[in-house]
This record gives sequence, C-alpha cells and structure tokens, in this order.
Amino acid sequence: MSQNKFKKIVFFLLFILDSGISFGQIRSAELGINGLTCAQCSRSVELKLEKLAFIKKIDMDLQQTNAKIFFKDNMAVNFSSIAKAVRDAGFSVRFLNFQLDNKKINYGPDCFQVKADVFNLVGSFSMPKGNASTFQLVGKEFSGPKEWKQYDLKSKGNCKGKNNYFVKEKQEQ
Amino acid sequence: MKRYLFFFMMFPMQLFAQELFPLAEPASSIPKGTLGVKLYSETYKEVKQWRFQNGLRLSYGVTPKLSLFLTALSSNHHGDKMPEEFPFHNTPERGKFYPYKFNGFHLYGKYRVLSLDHQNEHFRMAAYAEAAKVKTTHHETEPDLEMGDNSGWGFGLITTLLKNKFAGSLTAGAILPSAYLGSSPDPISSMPDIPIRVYYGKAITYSLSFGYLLLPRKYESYDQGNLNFYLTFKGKYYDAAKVDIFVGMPNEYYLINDQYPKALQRNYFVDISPGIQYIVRSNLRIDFSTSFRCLGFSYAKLYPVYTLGVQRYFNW
Repeated sequence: MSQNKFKKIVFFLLFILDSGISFGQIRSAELGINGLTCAQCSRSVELKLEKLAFIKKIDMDLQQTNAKIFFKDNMAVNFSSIAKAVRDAGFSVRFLNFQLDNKKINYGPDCFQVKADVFNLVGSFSMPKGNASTFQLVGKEFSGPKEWKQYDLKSKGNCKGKNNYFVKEKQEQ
Repeated sequence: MKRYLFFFMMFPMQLFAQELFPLAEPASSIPKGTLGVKLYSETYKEVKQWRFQNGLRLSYGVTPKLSLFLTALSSNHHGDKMPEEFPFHNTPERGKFYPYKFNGFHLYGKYRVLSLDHQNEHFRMAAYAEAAKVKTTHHETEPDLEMGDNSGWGFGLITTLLKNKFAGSLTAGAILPSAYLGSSPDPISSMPDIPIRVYYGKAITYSLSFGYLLLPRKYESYDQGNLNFYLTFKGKYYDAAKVDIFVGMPNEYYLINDQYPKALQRNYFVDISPGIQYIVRSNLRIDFSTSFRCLGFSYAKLYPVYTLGVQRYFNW
C-alpha cells in the first residue's frame, strides 16, 4: 500500500470519527398501518417493506395492524421509503415511531442528526436522560392530517441534512 | 323468496366480510408492482348441455392507485352466425351446440380516487373504465363486456366500506355496446345468408355486495386459512335492441321494438348470488358462488349460474 493511499484512509477514518457519524443509532421502529383488514393485505405491505435493503426483520401484528421493524447495522434508514412502501401496497401510515440510542446522539435545541439525516423537533422536548428515546415522525406521509396539522411545520426545519424529517418526542407509557 | 330470507337469517347482523368479492371489484387497488393471475368460469345448464364462459385474467398494480386488468375470453356460448330467422324467432337459441372458441379480450382499468383509512377500516371510492373487443354472435339485447358477449366500452364508480370483518360495496356503471354486423342463414337453404346489423341496448349496471370474514376468528399468522362468505345483488337495466335486416341491400328494413322477442326488448333484473371463498396462505384465493333470480331475470343465461374462480398474486 502506498503512503498516499494509507494517509487517505487515515484521514477518512478521522473524518468519520470527528463528524459524529455513528452506526446502529436507530434500533427499531413501530409502524401503524391504516386500512388493513386482512392477512392478504398485511402480507402485501410486508412484501413491499422486505424489499428495502436497510430492513433486517419485520414482525407484523395482524390483529392490531402494526409492524415492528428492525434495521440492519451500518445502514442508513430512510423513513420516507417505509411510508412509500405502505402507500405502494395501497394503504397509509397511521404512525411511525422509532427508537434511538441516546448515547450516540448530540441533541440540539431544535434538531438532531443521525448519519446524514436531520430530525427537526416539534412540540415539547426535554433532553433525554435514559439510554434510549422514542420519537414519532410528523408529516403528511407519516400520519393523518389531524396529527401533523397541529404543528406549524413551515416555521420549523431550520436544520438541513440529506433527508429532513420532523419528529416529536414520544413519552414512554 | 324464502330461500333468500334463509341466507339473511343464517347470518343475522353478520353481513360482514373481506372485500375480495367473487362477482364485483372493490374500490381498493392492487399493490403497485403486484401481478394477479385469475382463472374463472361461469357456467349454467342449457337444455342438455352446459354452457361455459371462461376468462384468464392478468391484473397488475401500475401505481398505488391505478390497477389494470386484461382478460382473454373463451366460451362454448357463441356460434359463427346469428340464429335462423333472427330476430323474429328462435331468440335466444336454446340448446344448440357451439364448439369452444376464443372470443377476444376485455380490458379494465380502475383508479382509486378517495381513501379514508383508519385502523381496521377504510372507506374508498374508485372510478373504472372497461372495453371489450370480441368476435361473438350475441342473441340478446342485454350487453355484457366482462364475460365477452359484446364489444364496446363502459365506465362506472365503485364505493367500498370495510370495517373489521364486514365489507360492503356498491358499484354503478354503464355499458355502451358496439353494433354487431354479421349474418343469419336464410330459411331457404339455397339462398345466401341474410346480412344483419344488431344495435344492442345500452345498459346501466348495478351491484351491491356484502361479505363477512368467517375464519379465522383471530389473525395470528399468514398461514391461517381464510374463509369468507359473500352475498351479491347484481343486475342491469338495458334498452331494447334494434336489428337491421338485409343490411346494405335495397330491401333493408327493421321492425319496431315491441315486435321483437322478449330477449331483445327493454328489461331489468337483479340476481342474488351467495358465495364462499377460501384463501390459502394469504395468497391463493378460491371463490365459488351461485346466482339465482331475485327481481326479474336475464335472458342471456339460465338459472342457477355457477361461478368458480382461482386467483394467485405474484410479487416482485
């Protein structure tokens, strides 16, 4: 290996460490699907979700029409792709919550970043204290209009990333 | 009428079901990129033989809201020529032997225009358009595109409500059949065939379907068998036919409608069709239903009419 190539690799690794990019921050998500009433319908949603490369495993609750989604390590999670998969199957997202490893996140007053994606905070937010926090995605594609129209999303979203989402902190019950 | 009441009494307050109706399309669409393959047959006994009208249907989810269906149609229901002395006598021509033949194609497109989805329920509306191109001799004024009696086109609106184990769906539409130009054998065998043009009646179509999920009582896995009961009221209101005789010849003429046989006159009917459906491993769907006279009747078939369908979806 040439000296130049070695330097490039070292710089790249330092860049990753310095930029705060970390893997495995989003552990899992819970997806509520509207309009499902049969196993055939649920199966069609699951087949669409299985095609997403970053999804490791799906546990579908046929009775509640919810899905627990587990993500692969080291892969970026695209929540818009999850919502699109549900729409492609002919249904809509009722809610989409995800669990985050707090140790690896630097929370700002308005937003936080996971890999290249930015999550803008809406609603009340208190700095997480435990190891994990749950957030609910807010927006037209992630919930019904009653849910997201209560927030003035246009005035939010000052932080920008590759994919930009709005989230609210989900209080554990 | 007693037998119809029996079905209501058998399922008191339980006109519930999935929306995969054997004899009607729901407003919901096929998942994007999913291909459905369906083989179905409608059959009834006519004098000493069984008539079959068969379809091989490919359905595809083009977008999350747009579904397309293409059906190849065959039957032993149509001859090469209209009956002798058509339209004065022998209409419909009962009991005559016709060999099986490929009739043509039926194309159907459905676009979901409204979705109000909630947990375990949805209310949806869809608009549809259909067209058929077939080569058949159809003896009655009642048009039918789906089973391939007529060429022509149609359109309509579907409204489906689904809540837990119950589904109800209302479809209202119209059929605008194309004119048919053919021939009828002259009663004098030495004479050439008589050229005939038939303008079939325009029709309003309507159906009201209900269903109920019988099994499983509780969904736990995709491997569970799925048993649904359906009840469909389906019918048409259609106009009288107009038949031109000796078309293109100096003696071309037509009779006024009220001199035609009943099968060529204005009519309406509603059939009642109980059906049962079993879905294997959330994919392979087997439907069976039987249609009886409820209000008026169709001249284009004899009752009871049995319909069997097998369908499977492929995802990639």
